[in-house]
Amino acid sequence: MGSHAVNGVAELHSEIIKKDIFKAFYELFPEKFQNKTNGVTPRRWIGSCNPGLAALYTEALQSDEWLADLEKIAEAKKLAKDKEFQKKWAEVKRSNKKRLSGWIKRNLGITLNEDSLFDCMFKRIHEYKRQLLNALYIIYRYMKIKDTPVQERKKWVPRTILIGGKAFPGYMIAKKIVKLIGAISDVVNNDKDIGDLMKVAFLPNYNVSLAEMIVPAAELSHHISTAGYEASGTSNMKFTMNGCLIIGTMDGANVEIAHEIGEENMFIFGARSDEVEKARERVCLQIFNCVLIFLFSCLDEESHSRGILW
Amino acid sequence: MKKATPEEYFGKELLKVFKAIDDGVFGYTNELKSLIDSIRHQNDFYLVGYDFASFVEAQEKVTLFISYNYAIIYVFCRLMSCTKILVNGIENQSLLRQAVINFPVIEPSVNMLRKFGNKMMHLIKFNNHFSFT
Repeated sequence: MGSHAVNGVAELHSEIIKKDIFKAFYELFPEKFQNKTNGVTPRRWIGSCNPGLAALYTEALQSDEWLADLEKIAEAKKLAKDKEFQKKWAEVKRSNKKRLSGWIKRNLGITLNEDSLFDCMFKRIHEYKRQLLNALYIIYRYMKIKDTPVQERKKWVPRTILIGGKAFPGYMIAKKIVKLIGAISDVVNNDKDIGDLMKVAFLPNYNVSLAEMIVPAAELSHHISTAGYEASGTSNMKFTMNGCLIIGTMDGANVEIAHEIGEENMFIFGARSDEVEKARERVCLQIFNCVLIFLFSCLDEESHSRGILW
Repeated sequence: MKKATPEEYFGKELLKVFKAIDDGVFGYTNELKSLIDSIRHQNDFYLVGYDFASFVEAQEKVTLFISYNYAIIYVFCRLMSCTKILVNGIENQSLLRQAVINFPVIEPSVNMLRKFGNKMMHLIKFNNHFSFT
């Protein structure tokens, strides 16, 4: 609070800081609080990592000024229904997918179907980011496909599910989530019955270099943290800039992206940040009850027999 | 957590998933079981179970969206095969029908239409226009 300003890193985050985390300080110095939403640079995340798309934009807008001022890219909107532009766009996406699937083939030995939907989730492994939710959905989907009679399986759109990220060494649950994804990928990829309908791969050692290859190739990306927990999140911006759709919760910068591109162009689900506490209330009560019961049972029996003081 | 019992909170489908993990479908039973234990004993702090149903719904929306893109290809195929019929005569119509039936377009279920009909009109219209019934 010695600083002259306190920044939130996304609009939602700024609100949470004011209402919740630094409530008392906000009452003291309301003028210090402001919002500076985090961002990423289009030079690296379009220009450098996706040269095909960059060339396409430059050609369409007849200048590369959009690299310094991304607002200018809105002019390309009028080309959205242009057949020729659509074709070129699809070619760029496809060549990027080819590059990524080549890398996966060389390094992980998994052959991917390049015509499938590339469904990505790349972020630090953490409970609040909910890779577990995605993993459970993968199993759900796998079981659903198995339940569908063979002749009706063409109803399922083929998907390639790519997950990556590092887990803190001492974070047991995060490590177990990685284990779960690896186990799923072993079972699903070796299931001849499923074939190309579904492939799962965990890409090891996620870093910026790898991200520069994944981001241009992605078609659907997951940003599904529990609402109110992601301060800002910036990979959603990287993916969006490269023509990738977002499935996500109303959290961090997702809120602003949804506002910018329209909620109907984003797959939004789940509890909003103000619902979370309400949804959890029962959990806390339950846990509280359990603790009470445990303590009282200690008091009744064990504390007498073993002499435990709590 | 809305309801006390796991059946009500997680739903049948998710419990089936848990059961598959418990039964060792994916191996490493001890580790994976303990991972699931971190959410299933009324300790789902990050609301994985709470949001699962709506997550599945959003994934269905994705499928709907992709079927829209498939529909574009479908129109193209239909145009192509129509011109073929003009050339080859009527006997190919059954072939065309077969091709159309076999085309992998996912028709949105009635529930989906009811739910997202207002929000995603541009998708729905397209899908309805090229439904096969």
